[in-house]
Amino acid sequence: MNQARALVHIYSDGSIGVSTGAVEMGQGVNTKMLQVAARVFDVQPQRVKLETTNTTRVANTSPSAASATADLNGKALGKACTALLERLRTCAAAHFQVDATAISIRQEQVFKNGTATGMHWEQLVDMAFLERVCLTENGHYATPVIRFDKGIEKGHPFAYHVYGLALITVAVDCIRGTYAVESVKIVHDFGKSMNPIVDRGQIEGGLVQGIGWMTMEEVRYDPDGRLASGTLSTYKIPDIYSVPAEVVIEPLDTPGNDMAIFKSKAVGEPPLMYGLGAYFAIQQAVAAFNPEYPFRFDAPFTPEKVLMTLYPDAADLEQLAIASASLENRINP
Amino acid sequence: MLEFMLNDRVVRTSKPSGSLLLDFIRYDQRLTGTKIGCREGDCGACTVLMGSLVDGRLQYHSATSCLTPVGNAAGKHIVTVEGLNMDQLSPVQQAIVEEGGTQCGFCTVGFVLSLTGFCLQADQMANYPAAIAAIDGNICRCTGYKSLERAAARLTDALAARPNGDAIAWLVANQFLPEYFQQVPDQLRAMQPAPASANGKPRVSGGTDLYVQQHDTLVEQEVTLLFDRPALKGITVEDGICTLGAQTTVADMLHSEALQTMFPRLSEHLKLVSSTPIRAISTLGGNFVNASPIGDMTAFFIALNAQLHIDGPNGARRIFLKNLYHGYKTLDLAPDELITAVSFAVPPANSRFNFEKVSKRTHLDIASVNTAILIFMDGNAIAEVHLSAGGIGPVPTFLEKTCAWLQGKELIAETVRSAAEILQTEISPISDVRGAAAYKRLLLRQLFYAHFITLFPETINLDLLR
Amino acid sequence: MKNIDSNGHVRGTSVYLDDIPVIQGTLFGLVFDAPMAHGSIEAVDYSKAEALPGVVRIFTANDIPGENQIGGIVPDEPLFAEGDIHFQGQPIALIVAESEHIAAKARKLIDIRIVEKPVITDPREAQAKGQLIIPPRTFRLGDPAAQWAKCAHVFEGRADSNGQEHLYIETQGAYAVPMENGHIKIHSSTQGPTAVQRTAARVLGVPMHKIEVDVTRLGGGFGGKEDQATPWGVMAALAAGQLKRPVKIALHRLDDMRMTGKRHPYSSDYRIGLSTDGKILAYEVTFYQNAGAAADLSPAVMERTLFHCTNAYFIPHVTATAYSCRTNLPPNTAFRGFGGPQGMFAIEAALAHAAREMGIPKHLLQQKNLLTEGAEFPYGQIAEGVEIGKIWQTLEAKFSIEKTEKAVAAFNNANAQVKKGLPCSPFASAFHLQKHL
Repeated sequence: MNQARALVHIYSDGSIGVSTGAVEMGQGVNTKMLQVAARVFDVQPQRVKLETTNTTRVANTSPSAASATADLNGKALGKACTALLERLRTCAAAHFQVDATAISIRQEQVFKNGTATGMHWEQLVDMAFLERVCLTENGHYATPVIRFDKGIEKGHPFAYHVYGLALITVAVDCIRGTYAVESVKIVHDFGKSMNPIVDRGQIEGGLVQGIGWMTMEEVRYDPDGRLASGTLSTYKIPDIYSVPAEVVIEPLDTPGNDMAIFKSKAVGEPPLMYGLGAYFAIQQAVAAFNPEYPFRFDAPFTPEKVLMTLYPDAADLEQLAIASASLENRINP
Repeated sequence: MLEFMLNDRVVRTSKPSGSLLLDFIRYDQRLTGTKIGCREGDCGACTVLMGSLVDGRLQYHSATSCLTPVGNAAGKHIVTVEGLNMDQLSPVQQAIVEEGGTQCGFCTVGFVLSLTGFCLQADQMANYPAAIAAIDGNICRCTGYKSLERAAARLTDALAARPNGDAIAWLVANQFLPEYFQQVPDQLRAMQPAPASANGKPRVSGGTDLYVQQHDTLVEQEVTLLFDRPALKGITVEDGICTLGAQTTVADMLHSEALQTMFPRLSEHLKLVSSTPIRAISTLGGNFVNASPIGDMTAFFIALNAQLHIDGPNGARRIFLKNLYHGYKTLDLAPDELITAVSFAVPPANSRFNFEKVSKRTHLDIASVNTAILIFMDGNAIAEVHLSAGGIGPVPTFLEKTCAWLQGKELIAETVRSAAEILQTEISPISDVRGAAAYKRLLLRQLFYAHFITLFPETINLDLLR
Repeated sequence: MKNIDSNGHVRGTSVYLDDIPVIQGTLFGLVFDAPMAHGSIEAVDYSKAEALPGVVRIFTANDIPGENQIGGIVPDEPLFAEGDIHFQGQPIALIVAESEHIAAKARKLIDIRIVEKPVITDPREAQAKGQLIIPPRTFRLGDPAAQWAKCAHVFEGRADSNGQEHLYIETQGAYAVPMENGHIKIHSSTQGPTAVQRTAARVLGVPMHKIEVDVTRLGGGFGGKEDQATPWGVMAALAAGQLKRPVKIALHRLDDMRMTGKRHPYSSDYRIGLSTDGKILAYEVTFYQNAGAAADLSPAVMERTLFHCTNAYFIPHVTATAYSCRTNLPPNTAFRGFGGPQGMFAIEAALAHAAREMGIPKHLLQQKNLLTEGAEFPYGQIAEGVEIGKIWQTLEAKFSIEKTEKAVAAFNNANAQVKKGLPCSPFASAFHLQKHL
């Protein structure tokens, strides 16, 4: 864990193939990887292709997990791209007979001491290939600093922390025990977001998953260990009508962290925690209706639990029915 | 041999009529844009559009292909994402991309189809709530709903420019749809009429519950298709009696002006019943015969004191819907009998109707408890009540004692409270995944209260009932 | 920049596991699983299933050339159950047939006799009976025991949070293709290609270089395909290797839900002590993690719970103990947050409890105890670059907690039938930890 590798090919026509250990599962990691390569080389994004994740190209991968995939693989990819870029600059420097430090590549153009040389990325790559420069590179990255001693349960296990705060308003229908999350106002620590659209998706998605966990998603096993909620008709996850009517996300632009790719911050898991507020908001609303309600903490707060908490007299209904049923039995034996 | 249009061409298949449209699309035709998520109509990843000629006009609705027998596609136009793709992204596709409405992408095609279905809807439906309703059967776990809401808003704006009338011509001109849609009506007209249905034994209406329960056997046989039989369709009002063919879908009800007039809050009520693609294919007859103790439409029609029209080898007969159920999934219906229609007396001006349902998730879920009421008033006195409930016993129940007790009583909070106590004596809920018995008792009381709070807000409120 | 996959997604051209064109001769695998949660297998009769036309072969533990073991952290989970079954849905055999439909029919023809054993589903019961996945762990900071007497308020209670089904819309699956020289290529819907490769090599008894794992993309994972995508890839490889034909397994939704683990349910006991002015002086918490029947990632998830047990607050005296409890449920696994949210739920519950009893808004307690620069976490790390204070101020400035609170109170006074509630949900979440140690 806490390490990653990337493999970068620059093909002789200037197109680029990138393999990393990252698995794309909707979190947009391939988009971020593409951004890393395009940014380091300063080329058009269309030049970069993300390859499948394959153990023969990138071995001994860490699973795409722990929100660290973009950080780890992005760092490894950045190293590989930087190494290739250095080689290309050296090649160009030899051609222009200057020191490599005098060469830069900006928007696919080669610059010498800040002046455009007229050489294009494709020409540079073609030249490097003919000069027998290796146009393939591996990058390896291992997170520095982190350590943990399990013997004493102390250490420095984390590279950095992400912070956030959400203000959630929930309305409970006290007749029916149903509820709606009306509004969620979030201030989130993005560091320097690499991709605001992708990151917003992660925040909104994590929030809704968290709300689901705290409200309607109820995994149920019978006492004999059989899954009772084993279908989509018995296990409910949020639909479009269950999302908060209003979600406002205020990005807090923080200095970010060098441990993360381009001073961004991990964004996959943290927003799920915003959903916790839904439980406590429902609880407050219930207490507003039934001040006698003794706080219990037993998530999820399903409509069933809400109604039973709003009306603690529910047990009497059963008594009433039993009494009248036995009465009926006496009348009609 | 079944024949239908799949995207831009006519296809024929000799697969059994009971096999699933989804499998045909994905595995026989290898159109893999349509995804498999759950095979029970609960995720929307397999959503397709089904088009047919209604009074000479091409009309489309969305449907879950995982619950649609391929036989029900006969003579229609089936649209998958491959049949929508053009060189450029359509405005629907573009809106989703622009708003970041796609993450893992697995559900995305379902949303594209549903939103395209929205664009094809009638003029009066081109509003934002309808756009959201169009995707109420699509689950996005990642979950990009807020982005999808923004995409839906964009589309609503774009459709504002659509002139009334021929939607398809405008949608083609504005590259929502490929050119070939213009030729679809002619191609459908030229097609072989759908066979009158095979002599297969199992009868299938919409299939929305049958395919959840009997998938493995149905998919390999010829079935008797009821869904498109004209004699079983249609909503008519005559001499104060409203009659609905047994193959009327919930969507048909929703779109019926006659019913909208009778039940001003119809769309609110039916919004609680499954989802747009399911409402488009689930039928009343299917719902009644399925005999689920929590069938939404059963509760709805029991409260209307509806009658079933039954045809059989011994002739036609009628029974009250409330008398159809003898016990859990046992019916007063012989195997060779068929429900052809349901009818009820149009509620008079002195009556009020309400439907309530609570489930774990408010929409696209099965009720913990549902209930409907039709109440006739005589001044401030209750003249007559029809009250039904589901989820509180083995069958959808007409709550006879409560109704009888309420008759003639003055409408005051005390009456409602007392009636709610009687209510408790004629129900027998069990604990299951939809709620504990005690919860269902409480919930029915609350929904019973909700009927009165909703229908008589000037007289009854929660404070008075507590 | 837009997600680079979005064009393919809206056009339906993005390729997921079940969209990979099947190679001629491909067979389809379906898992036969334990019908109950705990017991000993007395006998399984596959003969009727094997006789069904179209059934090619049924694989069981006896067909495994290498180790019948898929446990990632702790080697305690067989690929196919032998002898005992430990959860409903535990794989016992793989039916390989010409079609999925045939395999599904064959599955109904398998007779199994099981002598049932007592079932534990409650983690506290498991703990009481000594059923632990790993020894308990305790994080300590300061000395809570010495503080209780000094606290103006002490509250105790219990906080339970339930599991969560991942419900990735694309179910689990794998497609294994035999190549030359015993090489097998596995297309897998996994978050951990190397885990699939390593485990397949172990089960098949071949070096890792014989196994190639390829992943294009997943239709959602959320942690559910971190470790639990492995068995299907391994089974497909096992069958493909022996039958010399491509084998595909794409789980039906119901099989997926029944056979795979979920977010860990937790039951927790808390004790929180505060000063008169609402400063948290001490916090004691015990977590009972419902790990299910095998370790899977539970030890690492449990560790993460301990790491996050004080959330975004500084508490000077903390004792946090966690038990990973073995029950007869499918092995629970990673799910977005990885144990952290469960730890945070407990401290948030303790604070809600305290706020109620003390008669003050919870957000005041939260704000008073926010983490500050240089504060020590119970695991010894010193907080650096703490942003939560600034975040709180920003939220207050933009959205005013107090104003919103007043509006909610006014609404509640005016409305009998609808009540509103308003809480704050702060967090500090940490990244790059060592796990799978």
